[in-house]
Amino acid sequence: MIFDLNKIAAGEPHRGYDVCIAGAGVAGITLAIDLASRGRRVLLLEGGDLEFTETSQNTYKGPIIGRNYFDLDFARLRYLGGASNHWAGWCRPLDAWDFEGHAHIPNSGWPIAKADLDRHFERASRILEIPAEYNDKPVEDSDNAFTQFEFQFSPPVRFGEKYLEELKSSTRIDLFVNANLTDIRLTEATDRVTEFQCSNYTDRAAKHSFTGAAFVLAMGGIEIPRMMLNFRSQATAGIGNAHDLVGRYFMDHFHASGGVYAARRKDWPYSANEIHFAPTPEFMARQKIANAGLRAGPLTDARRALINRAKHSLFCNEDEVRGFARSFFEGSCPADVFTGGYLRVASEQQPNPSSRVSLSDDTDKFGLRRPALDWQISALDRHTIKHMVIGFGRYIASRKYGNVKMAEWLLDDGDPVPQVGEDRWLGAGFHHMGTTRMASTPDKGVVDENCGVFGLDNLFIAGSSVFPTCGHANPTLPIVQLTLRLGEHLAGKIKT
Amino acid sequence: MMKRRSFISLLAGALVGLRALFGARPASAARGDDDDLLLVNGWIVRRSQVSRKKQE
Ligand SMILES: Cc1cc2nc3c(=O)[nH]c(=O)nc-3n(C[C@H](O)[C@H](O)[C@H](O)COP(=O)(O)OP(=O)(O)OC[C@H]3O[C@@H](n4cnc5c(N)ncnc54)[C@H](O)[C@@H]3O)c2cc1C
Repeated sequence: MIFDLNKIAAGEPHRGYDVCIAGAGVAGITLAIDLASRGRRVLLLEGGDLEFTETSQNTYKGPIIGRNYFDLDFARLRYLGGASNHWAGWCRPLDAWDFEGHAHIPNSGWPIAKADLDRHFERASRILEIPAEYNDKPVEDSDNAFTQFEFQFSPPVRFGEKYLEELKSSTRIDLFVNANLTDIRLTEATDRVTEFQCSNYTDRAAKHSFTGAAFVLAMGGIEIPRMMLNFRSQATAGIGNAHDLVGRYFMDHFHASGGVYAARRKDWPYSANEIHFAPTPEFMARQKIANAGLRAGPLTDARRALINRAKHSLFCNEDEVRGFARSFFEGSCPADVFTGGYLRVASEQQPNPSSRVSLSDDTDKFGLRRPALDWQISALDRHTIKHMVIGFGRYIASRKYGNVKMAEWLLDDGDPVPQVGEDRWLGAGFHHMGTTRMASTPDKGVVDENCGVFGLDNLFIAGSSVFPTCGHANPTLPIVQLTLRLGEHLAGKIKT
Repeated sequence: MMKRRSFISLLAGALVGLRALFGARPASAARGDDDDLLLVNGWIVRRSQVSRKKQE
């Protein structure tokens, strides 16, 4: 059933739920549907409406205080279905390597293994409407440097649209829209959650209470830490923040232009469409880099004209350069002989406690402090992109397939890293990860291996904020896998 | 003569750039038949791609 909290007056608590979930995006909807299918009574609270509203979206604003980032109300959508209303549908599972800790990547590794998510791979793929297979293959002649890998593309599934009818007709799920989580109440001993408190837009001061056996935060990787840090009436440092870890280790995928490649058409063994290369574990260990996906793809006509002009000026114009530079391509210079295009790298970021979501002094319409994002890039992130490009350049040059021209900023480690808005590509991936990281012990993370918040018996987190290490894969498929795993865990904990 | 000198200095510059970029180690990322790679104006190239002119 769907209810509009704007039309309901605050009164007695809404009781009797097995699981209360705040946030009806990818994770929240997946979890609600899964738990309902297991016979549990589920409450789903959505701060926005069924459709986009300015009033709700405004709550997502917040200052960027570190490197440039997308405006926070542009990088997310705040209504039923969440950011799945504008995601692009690129899907890929995490690699086994991503779960292991690596000495050259401080704070890396998960307390669980890829096999723990694999059990949910096929079902997650069905939910996202993608094939459950990836034809990755080793690049045999790359000296064990690269794997050529695939993405799968979701249509993309818009979770609000896809599940609207099911949410409407479900007798086990109560979805409240315009229901903004504005506080979490704890027992006196502060070891369990007793209720979620919500506000609507018509009487913002009035608090609507919802109680249940277990509670789940599923509001996305920026909003979850923001709310946990805001709720201090009983936990002075914020919910689950005894070790000052909530909001820290913010990661996105660092997307940067790595340069261009050029090849004579007859020598180029790959497709002229975008191809994808990832480093092998051996290459990552050898170069001491993090995981990354290199995309080599065709330029648009305008950009192709530009690179051809650039090649002409390099190879054909200046007297001084002409002689030897022409021989790069054995004397041939005409544009139609070449293929080539961009090199882009989407890199895993080193988990860094200084890269973080904290609270700004501005407040939203509910009096809650807005998030302030201080996104940081580390030397390892830069090093990863640089060595992916060098490795690829070496590979295609030594095999006589073609040549890479490295992006200017990679040539000098003193040069600034291109910012979001400056880089020819995106700069970042809109993937908000790491801010309530999973760990084995509370001094290292915010949630345990079952996504349960340390120190609180019945509070859980669903979404990419629990990723302690993010690999180079886009996060939504792993989010769905982890959420199905959480559903299984909660169903085991809360018997009907 | 002038031309020759500037060509050589450009090549030397490229080699310095290469050392800075790749370090002292030989090319190892993707070892191929031709292990000897240079960085020239940002392009990663095989030595044979730039040495032909020298032989002329
Ligand atoms: C432009 C763009 C492109 C993307 N492309 C891809 C891609 O190609 N591949 C990929 O894997 N990922 C992609 N993503 C990321 C993807 O959208 C997210 O990984 C995914 O949506 C996260 O799901 P979630 O449920 O954790 O959070 P969200 O989808 O953000 O859902 C959070 C929900 O919580 C609600 N909410 C927030 N605050 C409150 C509150 N206080 N009370 C109640 N409810 C609240 C929101 O309204 C929203 O419905 C993209 C993102 C963007 C922005």
